[in-house]
Amino acid sequence: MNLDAALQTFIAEARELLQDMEQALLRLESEPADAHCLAAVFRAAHTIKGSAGLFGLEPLVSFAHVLEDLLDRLRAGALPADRERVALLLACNDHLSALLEQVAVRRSAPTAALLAAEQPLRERLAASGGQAQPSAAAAPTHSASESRRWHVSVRFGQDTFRHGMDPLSFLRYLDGLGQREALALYDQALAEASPFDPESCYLGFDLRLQAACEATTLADAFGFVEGECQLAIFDLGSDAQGYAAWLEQLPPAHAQWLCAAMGEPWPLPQAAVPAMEPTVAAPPTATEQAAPARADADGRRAWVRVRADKLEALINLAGELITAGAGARLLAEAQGHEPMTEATVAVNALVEQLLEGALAMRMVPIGETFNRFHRTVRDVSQALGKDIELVVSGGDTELDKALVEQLGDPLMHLLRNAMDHGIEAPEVRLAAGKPARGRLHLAACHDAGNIVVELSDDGAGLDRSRILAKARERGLLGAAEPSDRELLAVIFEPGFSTAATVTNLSGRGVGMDVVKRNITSLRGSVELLSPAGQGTTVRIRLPLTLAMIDGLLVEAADSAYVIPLSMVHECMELAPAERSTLRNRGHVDLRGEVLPLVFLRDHFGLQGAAPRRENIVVIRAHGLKAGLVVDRLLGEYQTVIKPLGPLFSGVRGVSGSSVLGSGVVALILDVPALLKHLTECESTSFIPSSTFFQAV
Amino acid sequence: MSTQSLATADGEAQYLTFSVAGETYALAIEGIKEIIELGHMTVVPMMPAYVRGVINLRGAVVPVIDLAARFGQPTSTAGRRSCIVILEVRGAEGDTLVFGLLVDAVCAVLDIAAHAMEPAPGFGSRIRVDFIAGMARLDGRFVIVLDVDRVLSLQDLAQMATLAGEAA
Repeated sequence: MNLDAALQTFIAEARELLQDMEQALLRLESEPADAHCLAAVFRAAHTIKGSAGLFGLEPLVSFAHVLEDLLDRLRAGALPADRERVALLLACNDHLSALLEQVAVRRSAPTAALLAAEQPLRERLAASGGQAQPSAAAAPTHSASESRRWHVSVRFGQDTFRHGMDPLSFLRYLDGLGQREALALYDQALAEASPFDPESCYLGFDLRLQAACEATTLADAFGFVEGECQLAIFDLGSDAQGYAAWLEQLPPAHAQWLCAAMGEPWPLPQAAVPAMEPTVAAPPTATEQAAPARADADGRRAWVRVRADKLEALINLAGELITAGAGARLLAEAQGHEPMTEATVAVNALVEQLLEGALAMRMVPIGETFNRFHRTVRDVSQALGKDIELVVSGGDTELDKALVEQLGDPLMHLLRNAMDHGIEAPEVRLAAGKPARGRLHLAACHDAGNIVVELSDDGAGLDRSRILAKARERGLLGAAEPSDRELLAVIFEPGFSTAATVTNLSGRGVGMDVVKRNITSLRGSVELLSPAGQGTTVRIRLPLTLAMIDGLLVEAADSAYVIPLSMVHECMELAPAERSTLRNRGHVDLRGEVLPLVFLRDHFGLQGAAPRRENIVVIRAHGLKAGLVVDRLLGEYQTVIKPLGPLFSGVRGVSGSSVLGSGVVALILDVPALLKHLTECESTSFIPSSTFFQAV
Repeated sequence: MSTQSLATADGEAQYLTFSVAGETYALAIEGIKEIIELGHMTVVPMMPAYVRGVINLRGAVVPVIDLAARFGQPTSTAGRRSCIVILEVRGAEGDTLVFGLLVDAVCAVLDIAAHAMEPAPGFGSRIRVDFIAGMARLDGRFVIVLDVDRVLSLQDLAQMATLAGEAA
């Protein structure tokens, strides 16, 4: 149903608002006088309260209301936004999130634990200066909480239901503002409607409300249907004349009906003020409060929320289209039909643009994820008794939404690690001549078709001797002196930790291996850089998207393989004369550099004799380089990645597959796994590489 | 799947019969999506012999199992009547997996009455006993009815694949 869709929209928006609120609070913490931030926090709380009221989410409304009380006083400058209050507000923000998940997402009553958590917060809010009396805060400027008598008349627009609104929810909200005295349902339009459309709304209502609030508050309640409904609000105490005048200009039958419903005589005794305009009647004039809501609506107009699976289906289809287009082009070329070939080329170019556009829709800036960490850094550094600031750069770097989602956890882990182990306690830092405040730098940038995310700290760096000792103790490294790369790679081994004490943050040795596994499963890589004494940098490299790959198409033993283009360094011919010598030697001289060779045919145990001419593709990953010997080079190829399925999960060296224009399936080579396999074989056994390759 | 149909059907159930390495086998018809001719197949390296490779089935990449090799016999050679039986199997997590079975020839779709079905013999059959759902009496001879869930047990297949990968 429509209302359900609207609730989903509310949940998504509320989550965003809570996130914005958190960001603003964190900024407020460092700059307590920032009125802008305070206004943003207030706006978020206010909007959540208002929207939650529309859906009858009472627990959210009541808590947001108490919160609003304090915020309102802060905003008015009556109270300073000191550290303590911001901390309280942050806790309230968390509680609102929890309430949202429970009440709106799971649609159940708050749990006992939630209520138990809420009570102390409410007490602290009250103690901190929020007004304790319920529903008094909405009129802080008005002379106290004096109740006024209102007449509210609304005729909903025909599209109300289609926009996901329910007239009943407005009633529910108004009931929360005060005491309803009388209600008349206006349904005459229903009888006149012809033809009757069950999806249109023909309803309206008039009601009397005893409430201590301003006209703007009442008008605000209808912010969601503003512009499409006819709304009139009168304060019967101070503007009885306005009401009378409004009544006067209604059709007599209508006015009569209304008065009867309200239990008043018709015509009204003092019905003689015709010249007067309905002063409070037009809601748009009284919208100082409603302005934020309208700004939101403007912002929303530029965006379309699309379900992720729909987008996924579109991208898949576009990918299929590329494959089919390539097939048509091959056919046209085979027939030698020139105009036809040209036509297919034009079509394919458009299809490629289509796919690019579809993929771009899934790209989101990484900054949102980064900003979420400010809170983590704040909380964790306080818990650790360290002073740490997080500096973020490159937040507008875009990458696939699916990647962003899966990057959050590993980054969080690295961040905690850096704070716990990387950055020293303030006194240690001062003793080392560094500023007491530690600095974490989270950066993102694009680099050759990849996205690089770097987390650096200015801590003590990695203690190589301790890592070496621990690694030897656990039998991860032999007696031979390891290279720096090998040594640092040990950190990613399962269960490895050099921490002397286990804290609840890290040190259990669970984590870095999980981080690495997560990143690798995203076709990315992670490496550690740590110049002695200069802190540690973790560099994560990821593809821009998981759906597509730019590859070099090669052939070996009549099978096609795709090598990710980002890992291809160069290509060259393997001279037929040198073939057997190179085969025995296992490496080739690349401009004075020793380049180990992998014969793909042998490595994969493929059948059939090698052709006379072979080619070497120089591949590089993780700083390792090797020459991959294949039969033929078929050229560059952009392709949609198809997973190979669970049956092939154990296959090393192949990461997926792709359907070529001819309909043939090509396998995508997993270059890092291939190279890793190579180095493992060389370092664990002392067989020269050439014998190894022959043994395979 | 096939065992279920045996248990519930007091009347007749439909089976597809086909030949692999000179022997006739039967497979319950449900789950079988289509039968396609043998086209280009891409070999996936470092897989056991019974995983012949993958094919492109209208954009989906489908693994093809060589039944002869799966039964421990030499891999079948592609003949004029070779074809691939496409079928859907329920995975352990309730997901649908699509497989292709490489067979030498497809024979017929037959109705086999429940009373014509004998339980699998304890020993003496050419293939693993747990692959057999039952023996169907057809024209005075016995035809092995396969238990597709066991033949295509993903756990079994993937485990073997991992072993094969490590050995390479």
